[in-house]
Amino acid sequence: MQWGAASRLQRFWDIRAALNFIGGGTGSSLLIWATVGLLTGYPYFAAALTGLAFVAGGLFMVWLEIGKPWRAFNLLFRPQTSWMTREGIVALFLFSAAAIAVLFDPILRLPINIPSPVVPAFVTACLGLAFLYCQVRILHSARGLPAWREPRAMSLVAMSGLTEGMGIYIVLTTISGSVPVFVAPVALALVIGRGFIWHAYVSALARSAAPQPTMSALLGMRRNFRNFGHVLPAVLIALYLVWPGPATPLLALAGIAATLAGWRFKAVLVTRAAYIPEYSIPAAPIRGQPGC
Amino acid sequence: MKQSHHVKTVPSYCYNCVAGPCLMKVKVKDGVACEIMPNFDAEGIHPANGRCCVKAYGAVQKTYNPNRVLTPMKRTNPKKGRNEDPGFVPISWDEALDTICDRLRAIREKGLIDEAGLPRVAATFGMGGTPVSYMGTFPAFMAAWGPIDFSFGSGQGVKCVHAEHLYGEYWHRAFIVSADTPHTRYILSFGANVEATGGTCAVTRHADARVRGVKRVNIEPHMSITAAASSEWIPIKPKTDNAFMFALLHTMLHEHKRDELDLAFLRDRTACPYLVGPRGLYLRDTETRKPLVWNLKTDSAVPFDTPGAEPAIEGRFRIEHAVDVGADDDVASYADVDAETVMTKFVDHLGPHTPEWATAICDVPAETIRRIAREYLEHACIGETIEIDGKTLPFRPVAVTLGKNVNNGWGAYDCVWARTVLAMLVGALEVPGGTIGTSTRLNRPQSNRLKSVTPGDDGFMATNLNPTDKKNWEATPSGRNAHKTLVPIVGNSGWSQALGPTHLAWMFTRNPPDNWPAPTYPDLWFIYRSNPSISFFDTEEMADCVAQMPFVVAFAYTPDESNHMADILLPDATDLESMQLIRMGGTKFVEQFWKHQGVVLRQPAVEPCGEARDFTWIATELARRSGLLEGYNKAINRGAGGMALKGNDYDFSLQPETAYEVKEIWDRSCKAATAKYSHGDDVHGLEWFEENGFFVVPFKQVDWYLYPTMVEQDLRFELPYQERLFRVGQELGNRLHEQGIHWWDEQLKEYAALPHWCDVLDTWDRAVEKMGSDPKQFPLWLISTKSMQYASGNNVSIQLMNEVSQNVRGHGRILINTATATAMGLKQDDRVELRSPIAYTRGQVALSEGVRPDTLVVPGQFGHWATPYAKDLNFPSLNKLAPMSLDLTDATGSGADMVRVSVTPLGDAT
Amino acid sequence: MTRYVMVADLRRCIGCQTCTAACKMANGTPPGVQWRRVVDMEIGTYPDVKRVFMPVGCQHCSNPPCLDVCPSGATQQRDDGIVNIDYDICIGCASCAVACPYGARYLVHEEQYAYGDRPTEDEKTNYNNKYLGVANKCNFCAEKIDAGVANGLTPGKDPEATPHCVNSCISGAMTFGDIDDQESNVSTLLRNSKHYRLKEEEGTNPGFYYIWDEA
Repeated sequence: MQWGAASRLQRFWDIRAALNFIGGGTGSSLLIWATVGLLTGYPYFAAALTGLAFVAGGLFMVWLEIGKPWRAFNLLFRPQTSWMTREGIVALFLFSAAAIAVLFDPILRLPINIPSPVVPAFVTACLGLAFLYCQVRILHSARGLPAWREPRAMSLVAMSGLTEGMGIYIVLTTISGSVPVFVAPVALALVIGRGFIWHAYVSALARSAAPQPTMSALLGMRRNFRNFGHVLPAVLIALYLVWPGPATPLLALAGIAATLAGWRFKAVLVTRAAYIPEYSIPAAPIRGQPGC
Repeated sequence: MKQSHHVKTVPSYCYNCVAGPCLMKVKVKDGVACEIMPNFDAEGIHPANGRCCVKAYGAVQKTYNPNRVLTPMKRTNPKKGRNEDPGFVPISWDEALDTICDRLRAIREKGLIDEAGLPRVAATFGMGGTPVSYMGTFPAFMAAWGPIDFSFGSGQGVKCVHAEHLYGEYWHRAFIVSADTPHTRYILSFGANVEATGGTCAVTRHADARVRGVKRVNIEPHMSITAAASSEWIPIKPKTDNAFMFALLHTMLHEHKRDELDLAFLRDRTACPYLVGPRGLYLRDTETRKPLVWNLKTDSAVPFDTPGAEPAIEGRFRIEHAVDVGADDDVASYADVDAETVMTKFVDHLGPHTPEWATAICDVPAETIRRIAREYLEHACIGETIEIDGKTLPFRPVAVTLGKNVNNGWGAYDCVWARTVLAMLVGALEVPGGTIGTSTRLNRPQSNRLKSVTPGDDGFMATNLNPTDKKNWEATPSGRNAHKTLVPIVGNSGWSQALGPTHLAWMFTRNPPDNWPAPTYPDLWFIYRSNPSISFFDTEEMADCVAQMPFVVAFAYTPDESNHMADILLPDATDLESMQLIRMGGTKFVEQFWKHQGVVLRQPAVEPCGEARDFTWIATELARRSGLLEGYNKAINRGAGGMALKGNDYDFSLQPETAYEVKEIWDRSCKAATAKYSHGDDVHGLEWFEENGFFVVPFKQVDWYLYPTMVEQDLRFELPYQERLFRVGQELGNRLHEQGIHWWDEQLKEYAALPHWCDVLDTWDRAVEKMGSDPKQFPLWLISTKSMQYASGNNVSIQLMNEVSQNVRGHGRILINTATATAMGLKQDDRVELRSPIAYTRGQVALSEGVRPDTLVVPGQFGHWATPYAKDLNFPSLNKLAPMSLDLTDATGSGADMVRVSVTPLGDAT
Repeated sequence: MTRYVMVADLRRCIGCQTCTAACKMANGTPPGVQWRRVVDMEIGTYPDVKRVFMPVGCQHCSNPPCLDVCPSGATQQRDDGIVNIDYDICIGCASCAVACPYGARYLVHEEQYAYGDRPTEDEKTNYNNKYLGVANKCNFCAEKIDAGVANGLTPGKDPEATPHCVNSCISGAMTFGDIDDQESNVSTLLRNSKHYRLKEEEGTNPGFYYIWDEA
């Protein structure tokens, strides 16, 4: 292994950390879309449970990754400054609110007089949004890594989370046979939006002279991300908008493609693109008299 | 409950490289060595204030390396070779020592010298004499034994700064040459990698120098650590330094005024005024045979030492009567003969070597060469003086240092001569600020180089050349490298044989050349801290040579590529486990010139691991069991263990018939040393040293310089004209030709009174053709470089060294110029194959802007196949590619670490 | 007030890695962990090349990014400027490691030894298991400084109160001391030299100065 002054790939956070961003982004946004669906009269339970499972799965991966997992509780000690602490606190409230929302879901037919699940679902959705925000702030606070600390990374990861959650929501609702009306237009907007933000992110990195291996890793996935993460889903969703019935399988395919592409992007971002920059200095030392 | 620990700190020394000793302390916790740290008790005494370098910090891992040989072993597979498993099995110390001593006694009965006139016992020790500081009283055993052949080398001498050793000592008692760094202002360094290999004293001093504003110009094909830390790097073509230096001399002699030189020095302290006749020999007084000079006061030729004479430095004169003395006392008489001074011949000799001429050879612009010459003269401070220890000395703060590859192999004579003459021209030789020597090894006493100066012939120092006259020349070699036969300048000290052409011992034993007595293999060969199968040339062939040794006793640290061929392995207690007292300070190797001198103790910080035993115990047992105890003890008494135990006012001698314990021997050594240095006022034994670590007395700084001694004895430096060596070379040629030996004729050409510029690169091309290859197939030059982490540190199996070296550019890689690599389609860390006319090596490339486009660099000496840990590194090796060849051997018997190669990208192939 | 800083004179440093080895030895860090190391940088194009050796490690910033991101409070900042880690609290999440603009932190999950999977005798004594699973880095040898100060010694002047890397430096490149003391060794050195700090634009206010010329 050559260290010296060359840029180094960070190896602290591996695929398990990437899975936390995947699970957290997909799951929290799935909770949001489930709530929007509930508000427009669509079933909540399956989507919400799936969203929670994603969030919990991601957090479990992180728990496996940290060096001292049985001290995990210590991560709640610094809400003043730490976005990871805040993420943890939000997660606690998120699961509490989601548990209530799920418990209040009529599908469970619990013999108790329950009010409408909309309120806890709405609270859950807000906490999901907060959770997503905490995650992108965690990424941004990685000052050592240009690929993560670039401000546009926050928008991109957030947007990708919303897109991935929507992708899973599309799959669940197409399986259930009843796709809410808002899904296709919102999905189309998300996919196009993520495509633009991705472009802006890569351009910003290039302008800020990010390490060359970072650019290589990101540019290496650019074509596939564009084609399978944005162009293909946009085309498929557009087809669905024109022929909603027959093109429903295409909508599902769009959801899968947009989601998988987003997950792949996060995996690359965390495990292959995050380089600590090489050292640079403003002046070389003068050794003895200056040479000619 | 907090556990209490027993912690102690033990002073010791490290002497793993020639720049030692460095002082250190070892922290021991509950009997386990766990930390190395500086010994700050030496602040203000040791030039690096008690600090040790990175290598010393590996001593802990060295002690607890799980791959150590920790019990004596014997070989069970009689076949030897790289692909033969030795079948080592553990045996007891008794069995090991008895096996060896039975063999030694049998040798004594047969006779110490065999039918070929060669010693039956041989010994090889590695890096530059440093094993002496770890082998306890083993030198006393060797002294008691009698003749031992030290001819079989592992790279020391031959691949070392060889020409510098021999010529440096010859010209100014400078076995090692150094800049007077604390006082200098301008250093021209031709590839001298002092920051990597100069040790802590050099590093400290050169850092101080840089901050002080000293300009150091490093001239070498790649940007070494030293070039990086210099004011300027000049990327010269490999092995063309002689052209650069000749052009510097030309510029100073032909393009600058004479008053920019130190004319008084040239007139009074050199051979410049001596008159030279038609045969290129000094013209001498017919009666006294003293060399003549032209006395400007009387307008006549007079012997050089005529009182009140004012010799002409330059000029051509007609001499009425004179003689010259050629080879084999061939005297010629002259009347009305034309003569010129040495200086005039010297100036004419450099006439053709203009900067323009040099540029075409060395690829350095002519204006750069001229600028360097001007800077050198401007910094020389001709006429200035400095007070040191109450004496007024010339102050000439310019110095010239050379590195390996410049001062060994073909062209080295040119370079060491040019360097010394550059110092001579401005009177910067052996004076404050200038180019000085630090050690003697071929003249006695070795502990004080000034005392080794005695008047010799022709107004110069007495020399120690091996005889070349018909009566005394050693026609039948007494050692397998024939150092006395082939290399007059290597002399006849205890070190001389190991400094001879030690690769010839291996080559000639297998394939004797024409009209040469076939050398025999020794009956028994000791090897310690040495691995010729890795560190010498043509390592595949070398390993095969080692495998031919009939009986090998290897003091083994871990299995390695040379002790793979051993018959007995003996585990000596290593650095932190054993005891020895050695000298330190005064002036000695590299930049170890101190204002103090004395002794330092290395003591066991921990008990030896396994069955490892102190070397002094091993030596005593070998002596006792082979019937040499009396001779052994007497040798220790005489000082073979480092210090003579008896002096004028003290006597701590051993009783000859008693086998002493290790501690007792060193206790007496401590007392003798302190008695000697303190003149009896401050005597201390082992217990005091175990607590305090070292003992010193002041050493006069004025004794760093040879100049005052030369003035006191009214001697001249034998420069620039090598009349004696010219004659010696002719005599040697006569002797060899009388025996029908002509394979040393190229080497004989080097015995020129003024060196003829050697076209080294062409010599290489012709050697490649003789090997049956086309030089054009090998377009690039491969050279080597050192790192501090591995410079002679026995370190290849130390994980810590490899780990920290990962931070150093090029470690374990092949350094290649970025543009050259890109043109070949190579990226960082791609694998390539380097191929020379004899072998190939493979490794990963490291792209660098700090390398000439026509040059590759492989740091260090790797390519291991047996040494644990090292063999799994799979690092490339230059030594595997470099031929062991008479054609590439210079007159002193050395060769350079460089070879023509081709590069082939390997892609994904391994 | 006291603020301890490190000064590295790049004119002196030769990249020998003695400080790297001394730090490892004194702190018993696992293979691959180098709290102090020296990077070897090449600048320029052949033949106009410069090669610089630069000791790096934790910069003990007065505005350290690692402090804010730490969720457990294990990373702490002392009054004397030293940024320390409480290894008993740290959960090993590596947020600090990715937050550090200087790449100064390490995190090792598994026991690794110099020679394979079993410790050598010195590793049994010296190897520090407390670094496993938690973030770790240079702490300016805080325990040594504290013990020295308690005995009336001056960090940077008295070896017993000075970081191991500084003590070991053979070229005299490393100096340590209190920059708030105007007459201290570091203050005097910096006053008489041209110097810079790394990534000052990040706003970290690092406590590690690099000298490159005389003033």
